[in-house]
Amino acid sequence: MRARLAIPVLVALLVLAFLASLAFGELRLSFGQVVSALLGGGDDIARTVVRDFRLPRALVGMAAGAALGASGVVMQAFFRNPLASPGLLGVSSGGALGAVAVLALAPATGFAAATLWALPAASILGAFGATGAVLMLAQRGAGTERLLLSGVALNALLGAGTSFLLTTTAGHFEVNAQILFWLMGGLESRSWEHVWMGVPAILAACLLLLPLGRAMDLLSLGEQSAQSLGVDVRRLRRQLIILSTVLTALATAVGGIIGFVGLVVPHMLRIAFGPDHRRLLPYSMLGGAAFLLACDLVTRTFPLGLRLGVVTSLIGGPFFLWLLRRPR
Amino acid sequence: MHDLSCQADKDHHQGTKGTKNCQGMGRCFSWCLGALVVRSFLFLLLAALPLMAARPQRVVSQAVGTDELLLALADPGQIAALSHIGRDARFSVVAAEAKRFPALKDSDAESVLRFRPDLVLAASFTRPETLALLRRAGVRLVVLDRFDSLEDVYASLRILGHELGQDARAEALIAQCRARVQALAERLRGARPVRVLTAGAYPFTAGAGTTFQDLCEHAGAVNVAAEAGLKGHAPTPSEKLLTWNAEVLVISGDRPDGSDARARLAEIPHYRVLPAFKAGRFAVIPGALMSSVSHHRIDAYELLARALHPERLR
Repeated sequence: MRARLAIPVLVALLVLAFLASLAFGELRLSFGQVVSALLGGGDDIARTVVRDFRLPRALVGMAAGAALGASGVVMQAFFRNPLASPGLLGVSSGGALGAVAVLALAPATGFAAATLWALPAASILGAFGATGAVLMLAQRGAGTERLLLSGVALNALLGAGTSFLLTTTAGHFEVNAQILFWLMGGLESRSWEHVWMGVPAILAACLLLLPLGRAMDLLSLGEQSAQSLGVDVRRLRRQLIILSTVLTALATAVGGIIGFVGLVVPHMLRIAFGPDHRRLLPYSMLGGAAFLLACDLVTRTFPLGLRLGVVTSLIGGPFFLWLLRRPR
Repeated sequence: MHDLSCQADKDHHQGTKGTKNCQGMGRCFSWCLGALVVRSFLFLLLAALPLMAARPQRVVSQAVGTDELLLALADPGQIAALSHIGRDARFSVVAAEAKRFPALKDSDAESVLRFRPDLVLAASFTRPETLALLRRAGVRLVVLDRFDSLEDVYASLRILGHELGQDARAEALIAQCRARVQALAERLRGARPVRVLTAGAYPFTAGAGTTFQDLCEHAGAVNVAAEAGLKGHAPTPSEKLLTWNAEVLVISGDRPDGSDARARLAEIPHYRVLPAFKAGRFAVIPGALMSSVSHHRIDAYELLARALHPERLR
């Protein structure tokens, strides 16, 4: 009953957040102006603002949110641990370190041309490195403690690498500012390049992930049971870890480190609509997209220039503590 | 595109350094004579000797801004060491000159004290714990803390000139600076101010009360960010930028033609949609000059004025 409402409710929330993202910003534009700008009419300024600033920003935000939400669900299923998420396990930090390395080395290699595609590539590479390390440190079915402590260690290690690069570029303060962007996450200055860079690949990874929901349900019964019910567990696990890492890395490449989305969104939806992965996967994609757009709206309307990663952490941190203390 | 008159000034300045040095000492001495003319000859000698001896001989400068002031006023023999970034052309206008002197390894107290200084120059942004350590070590410490306007620079030059025993040289430099600024103002009188904006990958722009605002006021420009009400260095807006109607983007990079800075701007959506960007209307000010807080900022005034008002300044 409740599950039947899920898709309409989540789609409605997403559409609402998307429209709000187009309607609100630094410049006050009426809804009519926004619509006519979208359709190619209106004055030059409104058209540029809506079509070149707000629309790509909203699309990138949606894609990154969907990617992080889905990636969180997959990691929780993979590790069979409700506290697993890309941020806590260090996968986001790995992606950020890759991106930061490209930014830090770019002044030497020629700035503009190198970064556009090297950056997501390095981000994916960094995320895979971190995922590999997590897999080695915390074997499957590892207890919460081991998993989280591995995440703490890995985050510290990768964070040290990022800090080192940050200090070596202290002279190039523009590069320095860009690195800070990755560390705090954010969607400002997103353009159509970022849309092309991230959205199609995220969409493809999400579509590849959706059919795996049933197998993920079986996996949650335990590996032996899943195997005996006809699931190729090794293959499934490989697919899951690759797809979730790619999703996290792409989200990081277009938006920097945005923490806690992969933790908060799947849990809220699980509490609301139940743990069935076939449903939880699409719900988390829709919910993640809507959640991230809503958080981005907060950063845009808040006067002090609040960063996106800060907002999601302000919501996610307390939520995480609540989850940790909740009797299971 | 290099500033010829400014180059000539520098050459002149360097060429006369040796002779000016003797003049300075002589003038100092005669000032003493004038002041103490009614006193006895013996007393005069006693008073003048410590004055001569007190002229610092091992000065260490701790920041780029104070490097630039010190190099303009001190005899080469008075300088023990300059800041660690004073020789980096990305930050320092006087990088070439600074390379002739030892450099601090770092900006901390120990690398300063290693040179056994008799005078240390620091800026307001030097870490307070470093200043406390230097004070505790009993070194004479002069903190130059006002860089906002040219008058602040003149005040700093006077303070430093007095500390170095080079008052006359400081006054001469100030007079020279005033003459250049006045000559520029006369050339620009009645010119229509050009609407400008500082643009860079750094997500902040300079509003009112910044060195950039000071630069605009002297170069026949209106800083559109200050006009829109931005104070200090504030986050660059994206959408509002389109309504500010900046005619020229002022950029600075490591390359003299500004190609690196332009490439960086091309990656930022809210700059590349601006008409000024599309039309390629840029004024390039080298990074070190743009951030200079010493009297060298007059070079930047002249450079920007020449870029914005070529018909008035060739």
